[in-house]
Amino acid sequence: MNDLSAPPVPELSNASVAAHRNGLVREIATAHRRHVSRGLALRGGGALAAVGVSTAAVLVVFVGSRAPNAFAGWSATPTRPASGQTASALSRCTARAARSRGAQSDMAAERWRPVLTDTRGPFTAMILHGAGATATCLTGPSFTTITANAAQAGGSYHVSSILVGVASPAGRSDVLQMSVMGLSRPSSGPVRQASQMHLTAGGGQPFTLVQGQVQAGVTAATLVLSDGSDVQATVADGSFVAWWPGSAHATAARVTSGSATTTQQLTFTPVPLPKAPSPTTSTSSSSSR
Amino acid sequence: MGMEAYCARDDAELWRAAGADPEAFGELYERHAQAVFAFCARRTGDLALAEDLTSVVFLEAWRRRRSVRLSGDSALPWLLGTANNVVRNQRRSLRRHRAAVLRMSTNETSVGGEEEVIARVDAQRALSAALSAVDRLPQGQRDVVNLVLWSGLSYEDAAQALGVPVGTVRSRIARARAALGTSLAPATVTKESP
Repeated sequence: MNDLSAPPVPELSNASVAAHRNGLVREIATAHRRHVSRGLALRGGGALAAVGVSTAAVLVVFVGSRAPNAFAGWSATPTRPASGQTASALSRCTARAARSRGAQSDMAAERWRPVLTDTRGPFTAMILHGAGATATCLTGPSFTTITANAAQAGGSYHVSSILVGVASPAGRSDVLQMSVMGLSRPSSGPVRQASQMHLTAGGGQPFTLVQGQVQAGVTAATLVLSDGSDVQATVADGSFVAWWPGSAHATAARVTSGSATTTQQLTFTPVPLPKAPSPTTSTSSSSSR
Repeated sequence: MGMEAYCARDDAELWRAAGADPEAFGELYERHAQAVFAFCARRTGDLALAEDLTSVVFLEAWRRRRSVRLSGDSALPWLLGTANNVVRNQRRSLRRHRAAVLRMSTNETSVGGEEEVIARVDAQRALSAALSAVDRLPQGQRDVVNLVLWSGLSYEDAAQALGVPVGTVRSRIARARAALGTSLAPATVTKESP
């Protein structure tokens, strides 16, 4: 080599770059959440100490928070799906729906098709449409949850949810609880409608899911949560979906249309639901708007 | 999902967003992984090690993201400067990020066939042969050769990456050219004088 030309180095394959990118995003998302949790724990501990709450109570809280994390690898921004991730998620979701029983047994017979898919690390959320209902499925390494909602009827919004439950690899079926479902129907703004569900899964660990519709031309939406953090939604074809571990609720949405970004406040009106159901049973409630 | 939005943002914007947005950092990885990998490969002469070190560079960059302000629009000079340090202290760097690198590697789903393995062995052999010529250079000169001549950084960016004055980069390049020219001279003369 007498001209100092660059020694040849093979190109990294696209698959390799994508896999490492996703791995990197998962790693730093996990580290980021650990950092945030530590900060909250320290602040919470300080606040409790300030009002004289016993140390034992603090320890109970934080020992509980060290339970195996069903949401490890979650990312505040959608990630690109790994090879086969979407197909596998659809298979798990439809299989889970097919095993449902209860009042809405037609859920099992629905021909579900995914209309919106959101991936965050190893987790996949899907909005599924059938002939007479929509379903929301969230599946991850250790659980699959699915809820089904009847379509709107007339002037009232009828919420009819089948809580199918949580499937774990060991075959254990945890209770899926829908504690609150809220609806937001702003009279103006790019977010036309949104619903928010607080759910528990994976051994009682809470998560919150928001889905809805946006005006045509909306290309991106970021939800601002009550704890001050942001979660970027997946937006496609006038719909959006986002979810996050924990019980923080969405307070606003920063929505991008073209080059303009607007912030819209979100106020969810709670929809009363019956007491917490058990897996494979159905619940229903209605709310006139 | 907003992937298009990332493409429209320069490195500095992504870097600022990365603290709260891991996916922004993922975009930086996608932009610069090949350049960092090539730098590490030419620095170590080992393709497999270079892949692991590339992961370490980005993990280390994210760890230090708050203390770094990019001086230009591109993150590449800073990333290559980090890569230079990571390679120099590779044992310590790999030890620090061993678990994360392992998880990132095992998440990779591609399975190489026989042809891919053969191609990789050939590439490794070619790289080793090409690097043997510059192995005689002092480390400082090899650094600037790698950054300026092989990675395409400007003298100024290379100086920033290495934390040395621009004049030092210029003089090292000149000395490297002279050293290799001298060392190769006898072979050239032999060829030209039957």
